[in-house]
Amino acid sequence: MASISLGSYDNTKEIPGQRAPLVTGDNDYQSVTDQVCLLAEKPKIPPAYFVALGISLIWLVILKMCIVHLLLNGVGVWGNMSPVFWGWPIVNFVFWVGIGHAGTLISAILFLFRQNWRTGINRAAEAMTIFAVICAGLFPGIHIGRVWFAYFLFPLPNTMLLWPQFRSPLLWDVFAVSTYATVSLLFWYMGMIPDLATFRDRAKSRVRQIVYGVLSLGWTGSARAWSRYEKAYLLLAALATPLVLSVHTIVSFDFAVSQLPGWHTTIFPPYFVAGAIFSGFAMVVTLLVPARKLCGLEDIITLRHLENMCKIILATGTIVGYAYAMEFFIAWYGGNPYEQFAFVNRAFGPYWWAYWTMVSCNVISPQFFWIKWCRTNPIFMVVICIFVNIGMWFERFVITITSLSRDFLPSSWGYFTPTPIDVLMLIGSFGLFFTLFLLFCRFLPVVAMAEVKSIMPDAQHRDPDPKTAEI
Amino acid sequence: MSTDVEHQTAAEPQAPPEPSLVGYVAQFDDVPSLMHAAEKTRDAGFKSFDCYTPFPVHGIDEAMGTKPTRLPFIVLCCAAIGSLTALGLQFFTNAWDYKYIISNKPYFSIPADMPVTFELTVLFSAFGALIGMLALNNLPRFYNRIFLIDPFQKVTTNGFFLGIESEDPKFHEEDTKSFLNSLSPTTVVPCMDPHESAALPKLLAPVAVFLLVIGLIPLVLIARMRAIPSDVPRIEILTDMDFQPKAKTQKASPVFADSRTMRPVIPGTLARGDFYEDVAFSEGLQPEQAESVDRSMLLPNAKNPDGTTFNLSTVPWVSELPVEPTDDLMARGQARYNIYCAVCHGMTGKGDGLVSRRAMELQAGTPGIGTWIKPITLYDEPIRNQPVGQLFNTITHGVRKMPGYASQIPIQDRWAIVLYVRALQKAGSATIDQLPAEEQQRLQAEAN
Repeated sequence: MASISLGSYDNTKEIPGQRAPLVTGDNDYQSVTDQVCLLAEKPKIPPAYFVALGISLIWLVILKMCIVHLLLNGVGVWGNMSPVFWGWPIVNFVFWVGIGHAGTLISAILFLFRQNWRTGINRAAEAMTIFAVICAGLFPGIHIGRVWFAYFLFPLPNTMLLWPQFRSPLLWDVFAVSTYATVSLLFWYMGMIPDLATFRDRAKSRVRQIVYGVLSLGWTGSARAWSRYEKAYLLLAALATPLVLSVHTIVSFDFAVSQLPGWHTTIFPPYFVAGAIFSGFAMVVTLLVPARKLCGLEDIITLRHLENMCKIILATGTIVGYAYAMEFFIAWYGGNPYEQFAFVNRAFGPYWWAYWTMVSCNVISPQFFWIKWCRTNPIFMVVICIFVNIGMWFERFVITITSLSRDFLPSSWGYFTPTPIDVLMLIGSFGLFFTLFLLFCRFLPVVAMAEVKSIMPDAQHRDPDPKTAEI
Repeated sequence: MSTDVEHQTAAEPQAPPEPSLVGYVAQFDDVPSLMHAAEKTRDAGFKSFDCYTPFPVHGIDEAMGTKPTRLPFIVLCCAAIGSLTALGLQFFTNAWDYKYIISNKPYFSIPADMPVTFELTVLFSAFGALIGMLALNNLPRFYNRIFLIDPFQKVTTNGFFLGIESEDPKFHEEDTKSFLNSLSPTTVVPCMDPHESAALPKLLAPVAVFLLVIGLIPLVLIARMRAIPSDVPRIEILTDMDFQPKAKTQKASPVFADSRTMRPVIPGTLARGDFYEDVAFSEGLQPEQAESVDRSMLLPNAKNPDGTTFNLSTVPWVSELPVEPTDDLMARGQARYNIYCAVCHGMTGKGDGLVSRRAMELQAGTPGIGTWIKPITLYDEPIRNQPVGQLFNTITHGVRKMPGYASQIPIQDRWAIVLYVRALQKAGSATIDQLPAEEQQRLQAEAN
């Protein structure tokens, strides 16, 4: 059957005239399936998994306790105080929504660009997207204060005979984020149907047979079904591509449509989208480097996959650096003294430490990826990616808080100080995120097996004779 | 293998019929041999056949002669419905049912509606793509006879299969089997319909009924509570700040030693309105008789019921200043007088202010055109004899042509002006012998 004898082949080397293989090692369809199903079917789970899950669950519980505390006592438990009414909750929201962009980018945009290496990582990245959007949706949901009135956000008939105002970017945001979450979920689930069928067919216990049997909807792998499935996948990819760009654009409208100096800039949409892809890929690398070890997927999520993601991080990080510079240039070139003040204040005002943390993490740290060693060493790239995510959190902090703390009326200027609840909720949201991701690794196919098989060397050969095989 | 389920129901209830053949399934080693087999099956004229693979095999559609799917058209329709829904929603909510007035912009504006329209278009299309794909593939379908074939579980790992159904008009029990064998497969397996299914668990029906009944209880309770009146206050799950730990006027307070929420007046302070209760200060009336005074009579040019002019001197005015006369008050009064009064009354109170002089000049030029009345000299006898309360009232409400100054001059300042007017009167009506001896000598010397 399909097999490649490569041994310890380094697929990050560029050999002229040859395509680097995307699956390394002596793997055929059977062994790829076995590897992907390993963690989900393993009778003995590695202790590291339980340690990670335990820590995540503790933080999840802390997050839940914080939310209960918030609901009982109101938003005063946060550090949000005049003039900074958008404090950490909105910073966290934008941070998580940004992270949630890499998954759909990998599944949709790289699919349209026929980047076959996406098959190894798209499932995990899509899962990450959904979990990040869940974390993101949490914050504006609880930020409204009286959570039980969250339905006011939607155009529902009500006794006050009021409707939402459709010219507000905040309402666009409700539609954008909920559409994005729904479409990502559909895309993720549709991609999983064939792999869930694999789980069903390999299931030994009755419970697994029933659960995976229901989830896989009776998939038989029929070629006629595959034909429509691929068409649906292509259509979803074509729909999700503009969607992924629109979501962070609309999130940036939350800021850019207002009149506040430091927010009111036209560069925000592209700059936010680039930052979102940047932080999302950093999070994918951060998750996949340990996950491929934990699940034993080094042959499927190869070093070349990680290297490719590092290259995207380098590219988007440089775009983000350009955007930072361009904001300052426009502030100077535009000649608006308030704009100029806002930006000088950003870099040299009371939050200078946040600004320079952001610049060093986002602009300087990805530049290491010009060096091949840096982008092929998993430990090093994880360190850089963690710095990138710290930097991207600070980017949202800088945008939200420095601009608000220096508004139009100098007498109302203030300095934002977070409370312990703010800090616990941010860390707790990571607990939620990692809990969901670890459960995903344990119970669902972490790699799109069917897609990986379809890009293995003899999957699409027309002729059994290797001499006449088309390449 | 991928369609009919009706055979099951067609089975006779009495004797379970023999399993019947519904098709053959051949297994192949790899993609190329499956592709060749698919092409040969297509060329042999079979229509009801399908290939089963662990991943999408490109080119197999042509090999099988599959027609292109209608899915893109379905998705396009969903996209159109999504766009129209979004535009309709925004038109209805913001331009029709509840018109939002925003900076005089049109109620319905396509550019502002674009973000939501785009999002809903994508949302509807995505549902169309997934649900359309599933519907066209007859999914979900949990029972499929092909799953009963033993090696078929391999199809989602590494198995490649080709199945021909007995529905196909060219299907023949023996010929089709030998045709499949001629395609050099690993195995050819008949697909049988066992015409039997496992009995439902006996407990299923009672459990289902039980759950249904349990599930209806809350609905019945809600319906009952909605239908009957009740004098019990509603259950407030979320109180929405209806009950707040705040001070209310007649309630006891744990904060103060005397347990009263309403606090007594702090010495030396005035409550709102107290200011006007001191009528001597605020109106210049004697407090004992102020009750009987008709306040409308204090306005300028007030008339008695019989049409004669009301005599203000009959009002019980205070004759002593209700404020303490100090040098500061006198200086304040002089300043206020010079600002407000001197333009007509003149700096000394003789009625020769600039406004008055100019008005008199104009009237003198063309007699009979003006209605200006020269202000009375403040130190004339009748004015000197007026009690301070009446002077105060004149400043407050005005007299004859003079308007009231209550809105411009605060009460304290009006009394200061009264004090200064008294000083002017004293000065204007004084004789030389009332001056100190030094002043008399100085004036004598100047006169000589």
